[in-house]
Amino acid sequence: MTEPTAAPLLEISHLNTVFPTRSGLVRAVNDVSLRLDRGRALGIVGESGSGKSVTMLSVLRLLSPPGRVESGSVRFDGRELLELSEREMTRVRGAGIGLILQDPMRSINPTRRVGDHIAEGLRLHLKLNRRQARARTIEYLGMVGIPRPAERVDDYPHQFSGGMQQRVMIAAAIACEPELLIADEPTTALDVTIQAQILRLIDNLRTELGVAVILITHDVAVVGSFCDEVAVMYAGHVVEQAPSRTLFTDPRHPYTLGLLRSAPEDDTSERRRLVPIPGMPPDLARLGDGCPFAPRCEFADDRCTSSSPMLRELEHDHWLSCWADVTAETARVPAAAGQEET
Amino acid sequence: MASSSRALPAFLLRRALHSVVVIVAAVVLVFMVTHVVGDPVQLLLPLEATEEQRDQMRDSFGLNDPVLTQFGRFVGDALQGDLGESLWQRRPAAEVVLERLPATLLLVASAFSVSLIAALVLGTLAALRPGSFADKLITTTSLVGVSIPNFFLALMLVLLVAVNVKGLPTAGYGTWQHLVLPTLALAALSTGRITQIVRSSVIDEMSKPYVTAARARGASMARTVTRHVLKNAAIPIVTLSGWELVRMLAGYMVPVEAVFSWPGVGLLAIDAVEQFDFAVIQAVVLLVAIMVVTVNFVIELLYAWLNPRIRFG
Amino acid sequence: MTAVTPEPTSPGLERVIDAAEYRDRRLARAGRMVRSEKLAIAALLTSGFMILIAIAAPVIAPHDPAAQDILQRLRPPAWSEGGDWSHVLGTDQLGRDVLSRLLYGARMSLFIAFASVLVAVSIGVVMGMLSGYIGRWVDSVIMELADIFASFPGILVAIIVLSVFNPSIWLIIAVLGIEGWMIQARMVRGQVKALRETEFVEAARAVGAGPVRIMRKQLLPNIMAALLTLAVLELARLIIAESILSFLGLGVQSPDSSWGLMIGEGRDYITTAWWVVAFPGLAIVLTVLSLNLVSSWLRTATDPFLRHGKGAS
Repeated sequence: MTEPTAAPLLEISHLNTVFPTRSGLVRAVNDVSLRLDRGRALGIVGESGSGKSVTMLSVLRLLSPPGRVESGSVRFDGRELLELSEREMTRVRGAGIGLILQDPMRSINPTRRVGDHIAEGLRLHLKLNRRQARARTIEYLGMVGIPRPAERVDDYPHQFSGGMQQRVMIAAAIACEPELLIADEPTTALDVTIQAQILRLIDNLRTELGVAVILITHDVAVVGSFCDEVAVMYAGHVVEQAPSRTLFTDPRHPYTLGLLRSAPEDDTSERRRLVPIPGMPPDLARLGDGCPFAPRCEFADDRCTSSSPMLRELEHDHWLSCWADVTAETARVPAAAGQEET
Repeated sequence: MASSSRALPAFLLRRALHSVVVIVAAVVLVFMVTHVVGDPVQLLLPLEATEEQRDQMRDSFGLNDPVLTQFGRFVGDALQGDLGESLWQRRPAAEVVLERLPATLLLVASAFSVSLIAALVLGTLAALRPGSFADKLITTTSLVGVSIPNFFLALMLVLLVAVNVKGLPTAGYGTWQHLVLPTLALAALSTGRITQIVRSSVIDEMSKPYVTAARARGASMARTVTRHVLKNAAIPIVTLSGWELVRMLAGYMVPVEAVFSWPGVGLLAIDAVEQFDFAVIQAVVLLVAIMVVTVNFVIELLYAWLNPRIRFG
Repeated sequence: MTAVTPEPTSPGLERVIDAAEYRDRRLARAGRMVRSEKLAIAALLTSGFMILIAIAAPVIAPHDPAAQDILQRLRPPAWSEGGDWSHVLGTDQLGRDVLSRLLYGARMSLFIAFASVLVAVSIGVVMGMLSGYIGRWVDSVIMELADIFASFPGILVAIIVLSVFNPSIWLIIAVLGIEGWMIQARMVRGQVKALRETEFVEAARAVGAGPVRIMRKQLLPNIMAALLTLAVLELARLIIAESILSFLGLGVQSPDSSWGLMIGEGRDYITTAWWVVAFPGLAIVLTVLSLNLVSSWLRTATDPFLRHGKGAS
């Protein structure tokens, strides 16, 4: 990610998405800006309610009413998605951008055959006929690791396990060879043993097909090994974004620090206290003027509660939205395993 | 790979047995009721007839035999297609009833089709724009439709037509124009109810992730609704529609037939009751029970077919 | 310096609340919701109004509902030509005051409907409790029975039963009640099954309370909300059912009054004297509509709690 010359595949600028509700206007996505180059992997980390999924739904324009994009821009492959007609948008979905959802048991249609899910896209976008679509479907099923795909293509979803169903959904998402694959918590609903397999599958597909990936997760450990860059979201804001190595060795936002502190590491050779972040996520309908993380932040001061910081570039490609000047050393507790306990 | 046919036959067998029990129960009930009270002989003989003469007549009809014997005779005959003699019309009861059947079937089929189609369209429209003006209008209309007794609606339609609209007859049978008003009167309640279930079913389904997933693959809203949502929403809709059809057949068509003098089985039942014609009453109940049970059975079949878990184990 | 650690809470130690508190929390929440639904309030007031006039009929009716006056027959309502204010809503074909008959009709129709619901609920609750709590073969038997009753062509059989026997009020109530218990039973059974495994029931069992006591003190209060919702819905349905029977001449008999009977008697005069049919019909529609609205509001007001199980507030 060192040449600024190539145009990014996806560029989200100052996106604002709101949901009018009875208790007020919920600002689910607040002035979010992200960029992703072709073939790269971006991880988006945050708690539930941080706006990570809503951001992606906004990109695909699949928000359920009354949610709507209030302002901002989403440029994909040179086109402004927010200005496309619905008809044009249906051509982007599936063929330009593929989506994998969280719970495969619920994102698969129980009354349709497994193969149909994949064939549907092929027939819609690539205009294949039934026979061709079927052949390709079987190929894809094999590619994602379904054993004996030719036999199983006509099965119904309830005859598959959760992990297998997710593989089917992955196949359906990449079937039309999109440039970008968005995976929204693809492993959260699966067994721990299956999780690693699915992530490996997505990673392999990335290398084989050259597709860019956005991986959304609440589990910070997952993004480390997988993503080139990581963005941390909180209460609808991007609070920090950096190449993943940088984020792990030199985190700057108190929330990021908190996340890293509270995440169990694979390497348990060093004993380390897991420190949860105190407090609760904010009510998105009642965000004040200040930094949304201020109520839970141990470094917060008056400036933090009265005005919201802007996202600024610290060093090359390391973006931060924070008033305080916090680093892993100046923070009072170590940021990652491998350092000594104070 | 699961085997396909273990669950299905057992399931169907249970339902079939059920149906038989229901028919038997209905017939027994009516038989008991009509033979305990009421004396058809009274109507056939003049008032001056002596008790002896009445008794003689009862004898000749076998009405003095013990009840069980009469029932046994009835069942035996019924299985051969003989449902007794209509004392009122002096014809086989079976003939009387079957003659009236087509009219009722026509009315019910017509009302049910109208209800189902209207409800699917209106319910889906309302579900796709929840909270909008269209939705509120449709929901309110359904609610009102469910609250009007069909005979009252029928009478209001008669009033409306008699005063304002020429060309739609308010009684009788024969042309398609005769069918219009009775169909509307009978369909209103069902349309209201089925619309409500279509709407809530579709709304429920639309909120499920597989809808988002389908749209994310590039399916348009129209395609998503018709090819994904409706099939999943179908189960509660089919079940409820089935019940509405049964409701119509099981007796809701009676007041409508009465108001419009529609020569169907319902009107026949009322007339037969007035005439104390046991044979016809029994025959009507048997026939209606068979129809109801058949429809219920078909609903079960449809349900099993729509639900892949049952169909494919 | 050590980091701020969150307050230690023992994750498994939720408070065991008892049945009374569970119910109180829900009533409080329901109360808060009344204020936010204007339509529901209007519906509640309308139903309340109907019940009130039904109870107060003997006091507020201007005339004796059975008093005939041939000279005054078929007088239009007071505000039309030919009407006068001694008969505000006009008179019927026998000169009886429509308003008085309407009020007494409310009394009769609502009484029958309420009593029938009571019968249906009583049977239904008992069956449902037994079925849900004891389970196993009792459950299977009761559910089969419910299925059979449900497949019955109920209305038709009701028509026949009531035509053969003398249609007294109590018979009507019995027939309508018996044909409606299944839906209550099924609902109660579902609730009981869900509640059977909750903590307060376990606690009661641990203390040594017998099944009857548990049913009465723990289960019953918690299913009240759902029962009420369903009961209101059934009330609406039964008002229509009674009106159908009375319309056909098989329900309430002259000189008593019921809304359905008024419509049935006035049927032949509809084109000349619309008021004889319109007012009772309107009364039915208004009452049933408001009851339906109340029922659906009740469902939204109480359902979320039942869904979340233990007093989510």
